[in-house]
Amino acid sequence: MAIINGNKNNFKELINNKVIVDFYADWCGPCKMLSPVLDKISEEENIDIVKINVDNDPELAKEYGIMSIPTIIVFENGEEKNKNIGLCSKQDIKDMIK
Amino acid sequence: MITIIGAGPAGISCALYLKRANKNVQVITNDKSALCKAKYIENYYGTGKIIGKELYNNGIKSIQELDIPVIKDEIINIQYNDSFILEGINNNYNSDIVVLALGKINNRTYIKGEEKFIGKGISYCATCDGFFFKDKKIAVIGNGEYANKEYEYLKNISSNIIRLNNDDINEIIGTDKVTHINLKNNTNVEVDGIFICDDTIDANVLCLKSGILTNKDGVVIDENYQTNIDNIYSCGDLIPGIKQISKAVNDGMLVANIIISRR
Ligand SMILES: Cc1cc2nc3c(=O)[nH]c(=O)nc-3n(C[C@H](O)[C@H](O)[C@H](O)COP(=O)(O)OP(=O)(O)OC[C@H]3O[C@@H](n4cnc5c(N)ncnc54)[C@H](O)[C@@H]3O)c2cc1C
Repeated sequence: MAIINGNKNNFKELINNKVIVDFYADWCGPCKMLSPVLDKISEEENIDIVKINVDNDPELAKEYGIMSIPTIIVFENGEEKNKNIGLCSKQDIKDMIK
Repeated sequence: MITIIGAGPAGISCALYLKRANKNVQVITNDKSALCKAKYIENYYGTGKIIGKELYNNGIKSIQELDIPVIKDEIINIQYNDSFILEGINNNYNSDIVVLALGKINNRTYIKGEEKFIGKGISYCATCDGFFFKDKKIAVIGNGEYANKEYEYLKNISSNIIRLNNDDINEIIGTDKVTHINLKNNTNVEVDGIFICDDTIDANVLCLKSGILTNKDGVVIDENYQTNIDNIYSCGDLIPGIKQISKAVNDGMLVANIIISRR
C-alpha cells in the first residue's frame, strides 16, 4: 500500500490501522539500506508504511523508547505488536506482519 | 578500483585471481586473521605443518610480489555515493567494488548483561545512535583506535563521557533500559548509553554500520556471493559454511571469477 510521512500530529490516528512504522534519520547509513526494502513491502503487502524522521519528531522517538535506528514497529489498533532494531530482510518484515 | 577488506586466505585468494585478470585491486587489513591465532596448520594443501601466523604472512608476501598494495588500516564504515567510500582509521579509500573478507562474524564475547540491552542503551554505532544520547551520561567501551574515533564523535554530543575497557566491567545493569555499569572493583557507574567498541571493530559491527545484512551465520549473500548491496561481495569465514582455509581460498577465487565475468 502507501508510504505515509508521519509526525506527532497524525501519529496516533495512523497507528489505529495496522501499519509498519519506520523510525529513521537521513544521517543513518543502515536506515538508507532498509528504506528500499520497506518500499518493496508496501508494494507487495496490504499494509501502509509510516515514516518517522527522528530529527523532526524526537518526542515520538522518546515516547516509543527508540535509542537505536533503524527501528521498525508494527502497530495494530494503536498497540505495539512487533519490533525490530537494526537492518533486517524483507522476509523478516513479512514474518513480523503475519 | 576493487578493494578487498581482509588479508586472510579468502581476501588473498580473491586478490590473486583479480590481479591475474589485470584488475586494479588493493587489500586493506588490520592483521587480525583467525590464522594468527592458530598455532599450527596441518591440513592445508602443500604446506605440511606450518605456524598459522607464518602462513598468514606468506599469503601477504605472495600478493605483494605481484605488486598488489597491502594497506595496514582498519575500516570502520562504508558509505555510498556514486562509488564506495571506505572510512579507515588512518585514511579514506574510494572503490567501485568491495569484497568483504573480514573473517568470522559474532566472534566477540558479550559483556555480562550486554545482549539484554541492545537498542535499550547499548549501541555499536555512534553516528547512528549518538543522537539519542544528547547531553546524557555515556560510556565508551574499548581502548583501540576505533574507540578513540567513536569517542571523538560522541564528545560533540555530550560532555559527560567515561572511557572503560571490556575488562573493567563486571555487568551491565538496568530495568527496561540501561541504568548503570557494575565494575570489577565493585563500584557502580550511572550511564544512559553505552557504546561498545572493543579493541578493534568487530566484523558484525562494521556490517551493521554500513547497512550490510547479516544473520547469525554471517553475511547474507545471493548465489553470486553478493551482499544486499550491489557491488559489495563477501567470502570466507564471514559467510555461512565451513570455517576452514580451503573453503576460504575457494570462496575468494569464486568471488574473483564472478567479478571478472561481470565486467
Ligand atoms: C585457533 C584456530 C585454529 C584453526 N585451525 C585451522 C586448521 O588447522 N585448518 C584450517 O583449515 N582452518 C583452521 N582455522 C580456521 C581458519 O583460520 C579460517 O577458516 C580462515 O582463516 C578464514 O579465512 P578468512 O580469510 O575468511 O578470514 P581471516 O583469516 O580471519 O581473515 C580476516 C581478515 O580480515 C581483516 N579484517 C577484519 N576486519 C577488518 C577491518 N574492519 N578493517 C581491516 N581489516 C579487517 C583481518 O585483519 C584479516 O586480515 C583455525 C582457526 C582458529 C581460530
